[in-house]
Amino acid sequence: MTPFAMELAGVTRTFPSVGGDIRVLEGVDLCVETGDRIVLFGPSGCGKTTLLHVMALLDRPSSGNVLLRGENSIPWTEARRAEHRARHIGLVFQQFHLLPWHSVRDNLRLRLRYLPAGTVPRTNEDDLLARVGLAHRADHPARLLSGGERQRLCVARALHVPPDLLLADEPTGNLDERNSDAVRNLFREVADRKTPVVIATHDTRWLPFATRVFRFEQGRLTEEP
Amino acid sequence: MSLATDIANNWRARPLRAATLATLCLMTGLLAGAGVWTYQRAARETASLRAAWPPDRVTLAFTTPPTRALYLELTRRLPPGSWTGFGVRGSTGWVDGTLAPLFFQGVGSALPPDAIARGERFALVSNQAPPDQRPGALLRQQGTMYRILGRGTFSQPVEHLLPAASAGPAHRKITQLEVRRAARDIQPLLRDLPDGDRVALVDHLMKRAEAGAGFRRLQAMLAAAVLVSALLTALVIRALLQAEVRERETEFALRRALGARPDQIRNLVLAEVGVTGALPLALALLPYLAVIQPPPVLATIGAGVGWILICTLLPATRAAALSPASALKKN
Repeated sequence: MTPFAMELAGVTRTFPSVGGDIRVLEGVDLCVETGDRIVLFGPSGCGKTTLLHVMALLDRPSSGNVLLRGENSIPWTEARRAEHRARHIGLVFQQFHLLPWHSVRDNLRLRLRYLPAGTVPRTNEDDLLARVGLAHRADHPARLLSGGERQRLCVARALHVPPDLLLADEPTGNLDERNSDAVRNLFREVADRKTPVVIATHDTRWLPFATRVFRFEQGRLTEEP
Repeated sequence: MSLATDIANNWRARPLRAATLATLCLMTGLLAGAGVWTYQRAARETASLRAAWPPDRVTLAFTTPPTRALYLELTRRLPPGSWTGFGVRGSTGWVDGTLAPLFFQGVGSALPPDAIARGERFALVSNQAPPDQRPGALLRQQGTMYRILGRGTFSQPVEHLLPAASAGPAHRKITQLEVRRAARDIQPLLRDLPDGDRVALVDHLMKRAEAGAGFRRLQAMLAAAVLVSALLTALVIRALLQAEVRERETEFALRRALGARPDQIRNLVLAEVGVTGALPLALALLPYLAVIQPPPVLATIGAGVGWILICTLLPATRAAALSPASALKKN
């Protein structure tokens, strides 16, 4: 199989607004390859989440291209983009975004639900839950979990179907130090398997994790030496 | 994780909304069932009336009142010994007698009062039969029901059927020709009428028709109530669902983010509402399906599914069309 590669070329994203258009991304160029550990570093509201949404094919850029293994994804239909997300992209959100009335196990399987049965490898659920320390909570509704448990479940959900690209938006933004360390360790495990990881954060504690650091300023991305 | 889990958890998360939805569907089902049942009763009543109605009248449909000349010509061509009459009220003309002596107070020879009692056979010439009335249909004329056995055909436009006095010779000729044709059409019908028709029976049937009319009126009112209530309930359910879709935007966006296609989101909403609404709807309709013979199973399922689709399709489409990026950011 071709190694995973994503390339953003001249990506801009503008949001129309009453007071005039808001340009969030301005000509972003970024290439992500197997084994990359990328940290997008910047203050809140600088466009990190928008960039992650573009990379996850959740949002379409106003201009520019998003190439996946050399193929431009801009003309793809919503269905194809969705299928690509289900198969290849693991997403971790700052707000966790779990289904509160579903059990921990059901939340873990959510991504699998949108893939044809038996077409993708998946991690053993019990092992994965044990690794994130939620084995004893497997059948509890997600709404009863603590903040740290929710974030670990969110990470586990992203890893249940092994992703080709892991995207995380402020993954430790709502966590205390101990839970933040647990989440960082999980990410290291993923990165050690050569899965490219992109983390958008303003938390400097993620900097040691990175092999490449990009600073976000006024919609532009600058790679730090 | 399955659709059943999704539905069960949605019920748990929003029990009041699910209960409201189920109750609305149950009530609509009960009302619709009552409507269908009443309709069936009325249809059976009409069918039995139709079957029992003696074939003792013949109707010709005119679009203008028959002229005296036409009437006389028809009379002349009918079998000898027939009673004749011509109505002045409205524009219904009678040939060979009538069941309603009211019409025989003016021009033409009046129907002898004992004609009904003696069981005479009658033909009705009417200009009020709608042009699309076909043999076999029931016709309501001046408060009385008639069954159309056949109709005379007039190939010329009705304008040619002018009063003889005011028309020129050419018109008169055409009119006479048309009358001859019409009379020729009537004659075999009259000839084929079975002997021994009892006119008294017609009286009885007329009473039955009057009694059935009340039931048919009730049926029409119920049908209107069912339609209005189904429409109003559909609007209420749609509003409920739109509120729910707004409330669940983040959930739908999350599902989209994890790989759900827009059509899968739409189907999820349809299925959730379908199950929540279809169960009580079916529950309400089942007793009616048991008493209505033959049970209109397919029609009921089709109408139920169609109605639920009307309530649900728009909110479900909105849920499918929402932008996952915007919805996730909104949270």
